[in-house]
Amino acid sequence: MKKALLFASVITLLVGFQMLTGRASSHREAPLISQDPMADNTDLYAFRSPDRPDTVTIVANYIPLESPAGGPNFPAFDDTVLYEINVDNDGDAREDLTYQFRFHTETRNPETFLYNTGPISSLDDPNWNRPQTYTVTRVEHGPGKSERSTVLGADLPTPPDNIGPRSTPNYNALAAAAVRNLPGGLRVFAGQRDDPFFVDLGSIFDLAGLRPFNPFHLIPLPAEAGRDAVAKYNTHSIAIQVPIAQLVQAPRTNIGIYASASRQQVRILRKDGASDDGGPFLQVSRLGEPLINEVVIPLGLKDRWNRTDPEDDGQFERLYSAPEVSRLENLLYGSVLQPVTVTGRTDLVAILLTGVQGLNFTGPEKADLLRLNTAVAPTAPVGGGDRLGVLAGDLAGFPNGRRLEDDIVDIDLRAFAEGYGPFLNGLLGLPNKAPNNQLGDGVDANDKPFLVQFPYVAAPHQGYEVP
Amino acid sequence: MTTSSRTSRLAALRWVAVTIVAATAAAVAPHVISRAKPSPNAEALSIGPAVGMPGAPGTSTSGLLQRIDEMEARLRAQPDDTGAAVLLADALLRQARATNDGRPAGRASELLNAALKEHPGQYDVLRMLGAIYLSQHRFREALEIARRSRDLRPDDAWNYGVMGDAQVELGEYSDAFDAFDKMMALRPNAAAYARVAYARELQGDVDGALAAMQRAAKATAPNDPEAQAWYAAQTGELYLKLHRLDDADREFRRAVFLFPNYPLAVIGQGKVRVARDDREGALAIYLDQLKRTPTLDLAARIGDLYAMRGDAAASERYFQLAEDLAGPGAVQTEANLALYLADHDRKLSDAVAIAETVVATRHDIFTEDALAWAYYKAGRLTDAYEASQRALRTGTRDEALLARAARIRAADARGSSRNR
Repeated sequence: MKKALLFASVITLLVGFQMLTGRASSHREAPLISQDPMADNTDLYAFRSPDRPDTVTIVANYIPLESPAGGPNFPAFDDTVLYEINVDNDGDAREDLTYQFRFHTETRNPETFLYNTGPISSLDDPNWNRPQTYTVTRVEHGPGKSERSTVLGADLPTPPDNIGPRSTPNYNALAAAAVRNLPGGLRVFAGQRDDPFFVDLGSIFDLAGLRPFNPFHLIPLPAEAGRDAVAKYNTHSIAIQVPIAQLVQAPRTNIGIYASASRQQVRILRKDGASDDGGPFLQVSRLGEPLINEVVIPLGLKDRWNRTDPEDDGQFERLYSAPEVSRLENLLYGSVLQPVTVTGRTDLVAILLTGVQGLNFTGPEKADLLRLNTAVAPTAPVGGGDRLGVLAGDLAGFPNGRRLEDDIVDIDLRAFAEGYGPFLNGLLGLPNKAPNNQLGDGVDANDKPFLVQFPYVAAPHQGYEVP
Repeated sequence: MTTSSRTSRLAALRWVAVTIVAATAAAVAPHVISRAKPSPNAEALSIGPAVGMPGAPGTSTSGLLQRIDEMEARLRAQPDDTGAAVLLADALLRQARATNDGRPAGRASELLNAALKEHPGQYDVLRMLGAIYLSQHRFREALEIARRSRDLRPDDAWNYGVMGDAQVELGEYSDAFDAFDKMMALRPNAAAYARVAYARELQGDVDGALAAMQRAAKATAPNDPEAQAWYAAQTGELYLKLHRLDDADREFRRAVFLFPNYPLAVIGQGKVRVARDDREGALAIYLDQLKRTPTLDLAARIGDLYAMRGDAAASERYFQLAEDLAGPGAVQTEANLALYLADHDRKLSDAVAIAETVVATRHDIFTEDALAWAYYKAGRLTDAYEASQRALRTGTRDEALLARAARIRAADARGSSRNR
């Protein structure tokens, strides 16, 4: 009787259910997902370290918009991704030095799927079930395709994600313990951090709105202060501090840098049936100058652009010399801005593809690299530089490398609108149209103060505090 | 405002809407200022992050519902919002997989076809429609759509995934594997690794399949528990094939931890219990799951377990349910009903007829295997042998399929009814 009832209830439940024959054993439903956040560069920073001015600090961030309360699967670097920071120091747009980062996640107790089973009070705390370590390798690229690899550090610890006061008390101590010195005066850190980027995405996504300029938009609204859409989000940082002498090729002082993520290609047919999973790595994401992938490269080209090495960027030059952003500025803010030149923008080509003569020029090769003149001394402790960088006469800031505090969005908006400001107008004769030189999204600083010491990027927001 | 200035202003706004709103689009990156430039071949619409990706809700049960509600609301406000239609279809596809219910995919298909009527050749709609057709077992259509989509954007790895998936189901393995290799060459990622895993499994390389599937699991975004559960469940299935029951059980439990009640994983847990001779445990799991996802496969498994227990009445009830679930009148897109009937010595002539109907549309090894088994049970040994040989052509090591092939080969040799 009971069974009959159960059966009847099953049948009742069937009403309205559209069966998919054979779904239960089907392989054909494999996920089709193009996006790949663990292999996605979000930002790259490079600056002379104010507290160790004989070194350069490079910070490469990966994994966008991590929600601090993102359990039970807390974000981590991907063990199957090759993370790289590449440095060109002879001006040919090809990397001469590469710092490679490979991660390894240990599962201490395979019988639990929890991230931690108690408070994590140290980096080797057995309560932490998924500790991640990494190896740093320096690759020196010689003539032809020759390479010399040196492992600089192995089994280096990363801190856990910042979960809450029960799981990760004393978070700053955990993170500090993950800062490691390597032979040769290098210092490294890899792990979760506050996303140092700041931008009013909410308004920009709303037909490229800039809240302070709301009244002048094609669809006017009352002016408002900007709102940082990246506030309260985390990311994963790889930070490395390297003595300048190891980065440059004297007497040159200028270097070009890009970060990348690569995934291994795996063939269907294996040669020996056992170990043919070691196919070549293909670059799936790269980042030199900020916002290029977002602002300059159109959607249909993004995959190809990401696969391309900077040395082959000449093919994308027209996207810089006739930028869509500049056209949009005319269209949307034409009522207030001085008309912006939308073709032949050699100024943008210079700043973004070769470096600026007399400042950070690396050579005539057009390549998307973050260019840093290491001869320019730091002008302030981390976080204290002028947010407008070179536009405001602070030569230690963007586009001479990039500091955490540099307001990339405002600088780019002004540069694309030919509002370079009086300093660059006087120095290089770049146009200083007004009020184009006032453009901005109204978000001028990060939501968290930066650290004055390596790795400088602020501690991640805690899941418990930021649900 | 004069009419003409109003018109030009609206025209300008429309252009902005197409280009920038779009920019909201591919927003994989956390800070997008830009717009998408229409490619010369396809009206490119960037449509924002997919569910489970940064900036979008996760793919948990509640995250999927949230995303579906948000996109339905956008569509109500603006029925012409193709971006919302594509994102909604994407979330519905996930929901269909997580619930084993075909209705969400049906709704997605309607949405996208309506969008295509308004915007013929719209790229993002086309590429998503291919994936939806796969889910609906409309493999020929999926292949055709994916080819059109590929022609518009030869660099988009997604299209090769849809093409290969469709070709695998149609039994066009060589083309399918070429498509998967192309997909991998363009963009190695979890989706590509999973397809390599299946291609290896089809060719009998279960260890290699396991390695690739584990790589896919590792390469999956933290905010995407639905995909993670899928990879974990598939990893569990591969462990089952390798008779590593503890490992299989752990992966199925992991999948259920990541996505509660994930059908593939719950059923997998039942399979582990059957393999451990814990039939009562398996029965309890299957009966519970049948309430959530009533399928032929589940009802048949339950009937088998009752039969083993000696409860003929209960067994027959579930066997009948299995038949009812598969029809009547339902278009058979695969031969699992035929296989079930043949396996249970029920309606053998129907089994042959169904399998022959299906094999007229596709030649994958599982359809050929079902056809072979139906022929065998119907006493058509020559036909059975030939179909069985076709089922073996990829070198699969699927044990049930191999066992049937061995029976057919032995019977064929004994009867020597085949002309040699």
